[in-house]
Amino acid sequence: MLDLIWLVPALPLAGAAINLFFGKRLGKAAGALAAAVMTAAFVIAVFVVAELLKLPAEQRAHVRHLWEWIASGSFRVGVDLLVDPLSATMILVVTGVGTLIHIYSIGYMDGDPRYGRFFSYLNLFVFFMLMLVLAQNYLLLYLGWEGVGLCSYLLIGFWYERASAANAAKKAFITTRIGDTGMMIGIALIFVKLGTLDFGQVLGPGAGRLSEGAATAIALLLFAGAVGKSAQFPLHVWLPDAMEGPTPVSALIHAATMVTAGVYLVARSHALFEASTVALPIVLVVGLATALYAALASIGQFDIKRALAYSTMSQLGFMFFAAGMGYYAGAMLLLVCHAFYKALLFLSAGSVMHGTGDEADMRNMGGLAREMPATTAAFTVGALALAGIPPLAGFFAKDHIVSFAATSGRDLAWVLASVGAFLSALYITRPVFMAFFGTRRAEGHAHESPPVMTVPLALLAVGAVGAGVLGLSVAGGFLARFLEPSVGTAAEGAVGPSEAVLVGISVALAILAVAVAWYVWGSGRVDWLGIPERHPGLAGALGTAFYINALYSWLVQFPGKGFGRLVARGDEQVIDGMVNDVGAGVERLSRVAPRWETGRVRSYALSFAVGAFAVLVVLGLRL
Amino acid sequence: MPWLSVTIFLPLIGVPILLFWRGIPDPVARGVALLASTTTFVVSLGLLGAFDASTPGYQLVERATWVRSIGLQYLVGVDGVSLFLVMLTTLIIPIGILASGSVTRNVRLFMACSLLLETAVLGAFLSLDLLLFFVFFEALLFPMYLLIGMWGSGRRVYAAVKFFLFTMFGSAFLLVAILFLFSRASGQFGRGTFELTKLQHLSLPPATERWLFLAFFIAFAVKVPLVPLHTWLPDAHTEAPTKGSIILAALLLKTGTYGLIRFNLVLFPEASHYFANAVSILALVGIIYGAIVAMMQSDLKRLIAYSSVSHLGFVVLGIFAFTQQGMSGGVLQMVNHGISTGALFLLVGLLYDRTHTRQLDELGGLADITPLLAGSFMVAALSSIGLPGLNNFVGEFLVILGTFTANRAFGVLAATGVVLGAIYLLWAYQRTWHGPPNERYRGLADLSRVEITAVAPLLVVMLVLGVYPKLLLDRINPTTNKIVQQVQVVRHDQRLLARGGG
Repeated sequence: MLDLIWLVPALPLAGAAINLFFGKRLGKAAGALAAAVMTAAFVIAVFVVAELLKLPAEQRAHVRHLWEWIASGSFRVGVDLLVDPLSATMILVVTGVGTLIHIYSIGYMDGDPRYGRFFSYLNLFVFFMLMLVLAQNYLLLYLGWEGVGLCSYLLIGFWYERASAANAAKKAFITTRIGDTGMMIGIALIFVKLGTLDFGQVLGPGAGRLSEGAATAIALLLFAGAVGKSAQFPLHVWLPDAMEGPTPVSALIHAATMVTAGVYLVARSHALFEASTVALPIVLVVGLATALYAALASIGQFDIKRALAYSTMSQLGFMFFAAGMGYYAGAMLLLVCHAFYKALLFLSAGSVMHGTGDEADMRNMGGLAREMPATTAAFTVGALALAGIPPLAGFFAKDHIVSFAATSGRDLAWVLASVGAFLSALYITRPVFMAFFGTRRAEGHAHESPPVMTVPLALLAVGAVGAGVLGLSVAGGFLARFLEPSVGTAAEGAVGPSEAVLVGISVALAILAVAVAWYVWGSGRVDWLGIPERHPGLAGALGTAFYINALYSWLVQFPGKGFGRLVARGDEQVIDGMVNDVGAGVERLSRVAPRWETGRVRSYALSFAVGAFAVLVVLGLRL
Repeated sequence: MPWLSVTIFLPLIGVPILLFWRGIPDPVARGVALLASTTTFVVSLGLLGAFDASTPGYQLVERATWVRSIGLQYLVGVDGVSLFLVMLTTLIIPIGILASGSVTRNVRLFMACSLLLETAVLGAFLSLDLLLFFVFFEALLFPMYLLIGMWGSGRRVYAAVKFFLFTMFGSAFLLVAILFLFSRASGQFGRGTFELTKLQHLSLPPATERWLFLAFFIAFAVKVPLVPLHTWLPDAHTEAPTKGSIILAALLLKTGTYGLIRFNLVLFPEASHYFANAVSILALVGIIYGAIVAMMQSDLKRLIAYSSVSHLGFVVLGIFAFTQQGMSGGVLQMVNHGISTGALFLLVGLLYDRTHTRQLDELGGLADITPLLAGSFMVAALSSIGLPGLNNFVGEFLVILGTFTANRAFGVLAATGVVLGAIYLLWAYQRTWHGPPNERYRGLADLSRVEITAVAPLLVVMLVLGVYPKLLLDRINPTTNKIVQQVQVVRHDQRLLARGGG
């Protein structure tokens, strides 16, 4: 059964190929086909993981060699798939949440002229994502890594008639590629230092042989890739723009799966990160900074999807924060729970847009609860889960991470993470009140979405409510024990306040945040629509996420274009100009030369050829 | 069966028919050329089958004395470096002929030029005799010159002359150097020879070797082209007819990089080491400079021409890393660039046939009008960008790996070239295809069946070589391994000498 693992990525690949070539002819069946291959992949994944669970914990790593991919000299990488607890967790999330999002898309994309193409890309994305998490070496991982980037590009720009979508797609690809270049150099460095790219070698005995400097360089270069793909500061600017894509894409790629690849990479490569003394602290700082920064930015958004995008960034920051403390199981628990509730939030937002004629501005919503009860319930459950209200999934996941910071003696980090948790609860209950409660602020009728969309919402809601059972305690939860062979156990500290106090503070903060959100955006006592006018500085800073985009334009884009223009002009006028000057000089000289120097290349060439040939023939005959 | 000679000269069968049957109807002329070139392709498949992957040296060698008194002979042979350049040639020529539907003037001469060119290119890739190589190397200039000058667009005569003068400039040095080697050989061996495997054993004083290296290098650097000898390329590409651009990019430039491996490295290993850093820096300048200038182009064809400057920089960089991965990657990249950039030029040509413009600001919004053309362009662009799973990635990664092993800074700089590639190609893609459907182009036809026949093989090869490059690497590796070892031995000897002397 474990050897059948190749079927899990192969099925979506087949679906993608069929829909790419025959999508038009399949019509409506395209969506059903895509969802069917996803379901099949999920079922096989479940069987594979069940098989894995039957093995004793220390034997839970199975490699399936398919074929040799690239080999030259001592360099050798294969298309090898690895099933172990870490990849098993990821494939279940990818195929499970992925299947629901495929089903939802059947309703959401209904009537789109490129219906078949959409499902082809979506299937292709899942294929590459599965390759990413199943790869047994860094180069195959890189294949998945770039592949999901491509699908992200294709799907963000799916409605490429709109300039904004086409621009966002390009921005996403190029921004993440900057990080990927670092990652590629990191991979090259691994090979140079260790002579292999196989996880078994690199992460087992290999990491121990690395010098401090080499380990730091490798870890940080890999992390550069993670920062790009997981939209962490300072390579985060593409994610909010990525919301130009169809909403199911935002849910699957830009919330539940692809953006978590960076977290997966750190967890997978933890041995390399631990071989350096500075790598993990940097991961921690970047994660925590992004968590706070993005949480603040989310509060300034009026576009419901952009608010969720900043939220994703912030949550990913929490995951890196956990990984940076060496608490990989905590990062993975948050990854799994987040996949459920963030997919739920995005798909609910999509349901809102579907029901209101593509309205995404929350200032034009309000009071949708009456007309869209199912969607409202779904979004609210997702929001409460994210806010950390017990006993929903987010409570366990986030609380463990915050507690871990406290008990491991990182007091400042704990305080900041608590602030982050408070802000998270605030920014996520804000859209609940803005969009679904109060009075309707726009004309027109809203309608509830069809069951093909609301049923996946219900199933995701079950996950958002219940996924916490995977991690009921900081180090002893089911997921933490399952992942132990892959990522080890985090040393649980015993300093700081007791568990009960920590949980108390955490819950109090979450409830306080919900209350504040209600007061500002739900009670009607604050004229929040007027805030941008009353406090333009604050609203501007939050709304633009502290002007980072503008800053990059000034620092990179404009000077870059100017420099490029200068070089191109130089090529035309200086280098080529000299060539033409030489040509003109020769021509002037030739005017005074004898007549048979006609200055015409053709006659030179001809005489040269004839002469050369004649010499050869004469010599040949003399023989 | 004399596989190599048959492959080299088979295309010529069509030439007399095309030259002497003056009233030949155009479709028949096309048919003759297509038949001759596809037969050559089929024969080259036999050659591929006859090739023994485990032999690192020259195989299927054929020898015939031509002019004994001066040691001139017909000597051809194939190894892991030239094998797939031959396959690339026999694949690209019929595809170019298929894609020449828009050529209507002087079809028979056009087709004759194509076939002559095929023979000349194949001869250059397979010659193991320096003078024979030179003959083929020069012979390919004439049909190429005519292709640009007669069937080109706009400033075609300027472009053709420029192309010709640049390459002749380089060739002059090459010829002198070859003759010098001959005279040295007659001094040392008692009789002059142009035979590569014999000249390899010539002992040359370091200074002489370096001068000779430079003479060969200039000839090949013009062809590659390396900055600052590149300015003929954008003009030649832009003005050439589609087929001309495909052949230029896919085949002609490769004679330069091929020459560097076959002659510079093998004949002048000590000088190759001496100049390795300088050449690598030129290659890096090419990678980054080519990409930046490509980014700023407003003509789609010119943009792809500059991208070639960037991509060929990778090939040269890999070669001069003197590592197994770099060398194999460089050889692989020659083939890959031929496939990907050949495809891009083909697709731009097909686009131009429809829109009659290549100006990016006049294009846009074509994705829904010609979806097959757009999709094919996307795949070719992604291949060129170096997306893993497609062909270019494999070679590019091996080059970066091989370079990085030899010199960290060079490796890092090369890797940044990869980002630039994504920028200019995706930007070009967006400006060509994205945006609301362009009213001006509404009703344009998508790819025809003949055009699909021309495009599809290239796309399939991109995917196959991306997923299973073993097909090539198994045959390339033994030869590159041998060459790298030869060059390394020299370096080793040098060190010993230096140590002994010091």
